[in-house]
Amino acid sequence: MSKDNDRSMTGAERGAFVMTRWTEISAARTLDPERRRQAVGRIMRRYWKPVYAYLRRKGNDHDKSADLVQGFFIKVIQRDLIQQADSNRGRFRSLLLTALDRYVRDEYAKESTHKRRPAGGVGSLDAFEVPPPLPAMDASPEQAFVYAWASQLLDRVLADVEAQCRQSGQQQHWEVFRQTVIEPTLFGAEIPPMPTLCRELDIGTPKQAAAMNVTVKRRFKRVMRAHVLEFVASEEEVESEIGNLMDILSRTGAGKQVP
Amino acid sequence: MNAKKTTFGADPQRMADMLATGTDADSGDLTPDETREELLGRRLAGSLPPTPKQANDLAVFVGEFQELLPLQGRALGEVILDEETELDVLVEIKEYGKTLSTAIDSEADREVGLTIYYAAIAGGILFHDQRITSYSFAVLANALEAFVEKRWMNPKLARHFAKARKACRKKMK
Repeated sequence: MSKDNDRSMTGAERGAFVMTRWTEISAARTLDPERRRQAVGRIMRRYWKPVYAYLRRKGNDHDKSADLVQGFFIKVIQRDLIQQADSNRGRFRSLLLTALDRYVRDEYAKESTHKRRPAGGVGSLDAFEVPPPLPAMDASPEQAFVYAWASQLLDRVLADVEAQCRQSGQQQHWEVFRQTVIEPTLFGAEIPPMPTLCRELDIGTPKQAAAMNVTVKRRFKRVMRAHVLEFVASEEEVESEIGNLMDILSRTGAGKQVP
Repeated sequence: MNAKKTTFGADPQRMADMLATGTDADSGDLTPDETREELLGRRLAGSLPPTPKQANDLAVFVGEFQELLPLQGRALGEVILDEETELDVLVEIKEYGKTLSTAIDSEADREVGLTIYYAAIAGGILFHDQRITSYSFAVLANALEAFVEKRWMNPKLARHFAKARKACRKKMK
């Protein structure tokens, strides 16, 4: 799981969330070249997976996809593609995808990949993380983008929920949630019998374990809403953004993975 | 997630299901009693935070707060029930409970705050033979009795309240 040391802390003021995502890209344009390079690296680290998944699904190999990812983020900042796509804000995810689609169309019209590489580069994509396998074979580029986006969202939400549980001394709560909700839901693991789980985790009764689960589910909901709020224009849009992600993921369906 | 480090590679439908878990989290609501039991358990498992005054006042921080440092790492429930807990600390806990009961808006939170408040008072009576409140022993005996009878009460705290209630009744004679 990627580490995002500079991401907003869950629980920050709502306004701070909204401002962070929209302004950081615009703000990066005004920086000196070195600081801008660093800013691009940070932004790229945060969003590269969905962009990369989209590009691979477009038929590009790893090297070309990695090259395009770097070029895209440089252009996002240099030409402020997000602001151009603006339409009075809206979903950050949709606008990033619109900007990416526009960029790819422009780039396909060009020949030289060298033009995409900035002087000095912004760091190798491989330095961030080993490229993950892509989802279902029959997914469209847009579905691949959303899949990677949702995966990244879930990774961050679950990491935050786990951290919050540990910070508040609720390791048992987290472990109950992990074994009875996360593993079965995400990876098809069998739900362990509650009495067995209680014995293993030294929990008094199954009722207590169930109560722990409710607590962590609520925390999961709260943290997820806070994360989604970073990418939409208002609190009212949080539900529809999650619903939209679920719809697209459901349509994407299961399938073989591409190495 | 300590067993699986990333969701990348999971079945898309399963990821949708996981997102759905976050949207219907209220469907498994606890009963009011379970809510109080859960909240109280969480508070008792936590530690006693420094008051704003302690946190902001450097002089207090290096002085008075140092006295509370041994409490760091100990669960609040453990400190409340420890007969060696000093009276000053019980007073701090009482104030903490009072703050909790007044600064939050749910009835469950308010009751849990009051539980901590009265548990500290009970500790003062049982461990130091001191009444750290202006309430009379008669009033205290009634209040403590109500806590003993709460179905959601932590069993150790229920015994703590029962002993303190008995002590209050003795004082009334």
